[in-house]
Formats: sequence, C-alpha cells, structure tokens
Amino acid sequence: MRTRTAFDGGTRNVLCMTRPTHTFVCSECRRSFEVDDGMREALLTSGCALCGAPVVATDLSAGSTAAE
Amino acid sequence: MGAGIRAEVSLPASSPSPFDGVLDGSTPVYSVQRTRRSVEPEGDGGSKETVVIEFTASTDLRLPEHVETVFDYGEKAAYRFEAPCVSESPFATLDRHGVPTADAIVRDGRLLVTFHATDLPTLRRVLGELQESCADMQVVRLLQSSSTPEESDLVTVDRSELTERQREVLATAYEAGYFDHPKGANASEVAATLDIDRSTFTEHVAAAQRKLFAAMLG
Repeated sequence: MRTRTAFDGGTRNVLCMTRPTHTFVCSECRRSFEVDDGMREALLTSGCALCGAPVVATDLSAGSTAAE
Repeated sequence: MGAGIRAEVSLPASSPSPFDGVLDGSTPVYSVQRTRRSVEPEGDGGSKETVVIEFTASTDLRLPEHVETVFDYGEKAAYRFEAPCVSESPFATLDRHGVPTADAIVRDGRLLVTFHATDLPTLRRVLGELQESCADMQVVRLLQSSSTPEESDLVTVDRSELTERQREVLATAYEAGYFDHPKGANASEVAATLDIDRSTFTEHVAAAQRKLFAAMLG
C-alpha cells in the first residue's frame, strides 16, 4: 500500500513512503489518525499518543482514511 | 536506527499561527522557514525577540503591506514578514521542546506541520502542548522509524527533475482522473484542458514518468 506524505505541495525533495498503514481511533479521546506498523505496535504497547488511554487491536483498522 | 516518530499535524492557519491576518484561507503555501531575531528597542528597555517568517507561494498574491517579496521564482515567490513571538504559536511550542520543524505548508486554510520526536514521551508532551494552545489541532499521521533496515522502504524523489510544464501536465492529468482506473479522462480530454495536442500531452507524461520511475525503481 502506498502512502503519500500529507505535505506534498511544494517543490522540495519529498520522501515517498511505501508502508502499510492503519487508521487508529482512540476509544477514549476519539481522536483519529493514520499510523504505520511501527507506530501501531507503539500504540498497543504504550497507549494513545494523545491521551495515553490503553489501545487494543480493534482500535486499529487496516487502511488509511486520514485526510490528505 | 533511532526509534523516533515522524508526526504530521494540522492546525488552523489563523491564530495562533503566525499566518493569521497574512493569508486568506484559500492561499496555498509550499514551504515555510523561520528565524528568531533579537530586537533592541529604543530607550533602556531590554531586547525582545521577534520571528521572521519566510514562505513560498504563488506570485499573484495580494498580501498585507508588511509582507515583502524577497525573491521571484516566476510562478512562485518567496515572501517575508516579521511578527512578534507568540508563545501559543505551534512553532514556538516546538521551539520550547527543542524540536525543529521538518516541514510546514498551508493548504485549504490549514497549517500542516511535520516534525520528528525522538520518542513517544516527547511526542506526547509536544502534542499535548499543541492541543492546549489550539483545541482544533489534529494529528494526521504518525510514523515510527523501522526497527530493522529491511522494513524501511523510503526513496527520495527530487521533483525539481521535472520541468514546470511536466508538473503542470501531470497535475492536470491526475486531477482529471487520467491515472484512475477506470479513467476519469482520456488523453485527448486532458490535452484539450491544457490546450495542447494529444501527442504533446503523452510525450510530457512519458517524460515525467520516466524521471519519476527512475527515482522510484532505480
């Protein structure tokens, strides 16, 4: 699955990232954002990056719905 | 390999962003740089800091008087203005945490900022303070450094390899759905939009694709 960077409007060099992505929705603070595999594991281990609430696998769905 | 996190966050371009009162909601900004400047006021007052913002945007902008054009690139220009240091600004927040801004643009009235946090606790602190200063802060994407080099699949694409015309042709074709399946527009339709021959259009696309694929697959 290809992930474009959110910030691709300029004329600079950009990194094109080809990583599996997941959409995370915090069951506590209801914030939603896109994460890669590494961040998915970090969330499952350490909790939501914003509120710290525990994260379970069902809070993460495959695919990206984050706004570009 | 570091365990850092790349964070992409979206905030309003209005206050507390330094672009408040400078840009209207529809003006895209392609890059932002900034530096702090120490100002010695007249009298015996101590020095105070301001921030100098430079940004790249279209040349045909109507901007407030205090924004000056510092370089004209043709279709784009670099603009500069000076503003007071505002502690609630997202850039000031990153400064306080010693986190440089990796990238910043403005699109659709939103300031999109990318930064790298060295670890999750640092990320939490930065995000918490950004949210405190701006309740409308949204996290767009978080990426963590791969734990093994094999998992990384990054390539650098230098878009300056493309000519302005090739970029325009690609962007128009992309927006028209030329690269979709099924196609939203065929070559003749996109060529007509660009007011060029179909053969010229396909030549531009082929040349651009060769450059992009060389970078992606090389």
